[in-house]
Amino acid sequence: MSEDIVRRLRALPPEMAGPGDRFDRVRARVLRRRRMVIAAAAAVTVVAALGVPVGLALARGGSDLPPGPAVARPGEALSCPRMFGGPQPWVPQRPTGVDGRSRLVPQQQPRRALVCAFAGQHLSGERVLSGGLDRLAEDLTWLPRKLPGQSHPCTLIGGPQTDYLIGLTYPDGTVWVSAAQDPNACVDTSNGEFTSQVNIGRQVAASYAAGAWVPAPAPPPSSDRDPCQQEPFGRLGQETAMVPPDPVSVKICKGTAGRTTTSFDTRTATDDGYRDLVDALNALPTRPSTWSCQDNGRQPVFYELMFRYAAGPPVRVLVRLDCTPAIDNTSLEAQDASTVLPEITRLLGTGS
Amino acid sequence: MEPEGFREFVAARSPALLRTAWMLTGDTQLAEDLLQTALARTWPHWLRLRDGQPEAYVRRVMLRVTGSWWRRRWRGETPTAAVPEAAASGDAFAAVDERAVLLAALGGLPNRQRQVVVLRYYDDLSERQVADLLGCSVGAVKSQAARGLAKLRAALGADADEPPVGVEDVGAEEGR
Repeated sequence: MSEDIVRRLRALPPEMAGPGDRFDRVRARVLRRRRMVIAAAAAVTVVAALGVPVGLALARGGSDLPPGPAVARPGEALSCPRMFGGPQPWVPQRPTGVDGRSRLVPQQQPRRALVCAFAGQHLSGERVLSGGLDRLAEDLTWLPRKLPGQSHPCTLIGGPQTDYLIGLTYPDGTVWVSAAQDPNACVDTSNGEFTSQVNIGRQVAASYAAGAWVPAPAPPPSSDRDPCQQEPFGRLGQETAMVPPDPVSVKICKGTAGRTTTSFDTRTATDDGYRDLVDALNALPTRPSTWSCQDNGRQPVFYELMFRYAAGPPVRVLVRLDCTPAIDNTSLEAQDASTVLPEITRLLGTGS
Repeated sequence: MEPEGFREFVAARSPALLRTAWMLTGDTQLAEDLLQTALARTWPHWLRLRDGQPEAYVRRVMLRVTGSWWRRRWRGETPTAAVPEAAASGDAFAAVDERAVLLAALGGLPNRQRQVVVLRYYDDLSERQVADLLGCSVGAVKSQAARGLAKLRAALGADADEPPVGVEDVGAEEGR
């Protein structure tokens, strides 16, 4: 009987040719829809010019992003979209009610954090984080901005990728952040307006599993025990200056590669003695970092300069004498270290 | 500007999509309107979709649009639990009447049940595919499909005591 009903169902539709100019009709609809959007945008511009901020918020909500259930008005709790709508980085809605262009997320604790996990395109799970939201804000608000056109080499390890969306609700707005845990840790992090090339996939995956925002998992243990690799680094502003303003100290780790291990000499400077080093670094001609190293045949000596700040994460500037380019803070690179090296060696107390 | 490959997609896939649209609306003009609406909404995203599953996207838009039509009662139809009396089988007129009865019964299903029945049994999608398109669980698809099919069976005068049909016994295999 079931098969019989299915057979009859399949015989139900009549012969339908439809209009021969269906494509042209669809195109006409698209053009009509665009004209309506333009007219609406013009109307919103007028409203905004009259000083009604609500008009602006609505205009941003009506962007050209794909429609979905995850769209919310400012301050509303978000819900996960059922499908991940595009290649990374993708968010269902740009930031509303808060500034999404200056930082990935505002410098304030969100009221609510929802994490959506996607297996392939499809929502595979969702979880409201029960704690650690102050830490979440601290971790995400300082992520450095990816420079326009910037790209860097990635490994090509095969394996599954899990896409995540973090839906953050603030008293005055909402922000979606997209992230991914991929085998190469290469996928950018973005809110739709601000993109960082820092991959936070492992931390988001760990937080999703824990049900609360947790610190980034420690990097794999290194036999070298690099004293400058004990904490996460990378800070907003490092894409515009090799050392962003107002560091309060610098820790210098000098690494000398041996046959099997690397030895380190370490010094931390907290007085004004390192200001000349900051000035020397910030005087260098720079370009967007390519995360590359062309071996120049010199001695394999490197210096890690960890600049710390009163608030937020440190910036690490890596100076490699055997590489060209010689200096890199993961956002900017500079070719030559000759003007910087004397300041480093002076601070290390090795003379010259 | 016309996105590359979209015209060909429309030409190639419209017949099948139009039949699905008809099954969702039961009306030729509405089906055409639904299809054109879905294609127009797909157009802006074509470059992102063309190497993926654009047909699934169009179907999803159609489901969303029919959902909004349903909520607004835009179609002017009134769903009813009672369907026309089933005709006796055995002659040509009975076949025509039977078709009308089935169509009326399909139109009388709640929107979500109708969507599940159409996608599962007409489009021959797997339970998982239907669940993904509708954004619900596989279990919900199973129960809606069983209820919908039971109502259609009842409308056609089948034995009301026959147990609800599990979705495993007809149509596509799970995950196909």
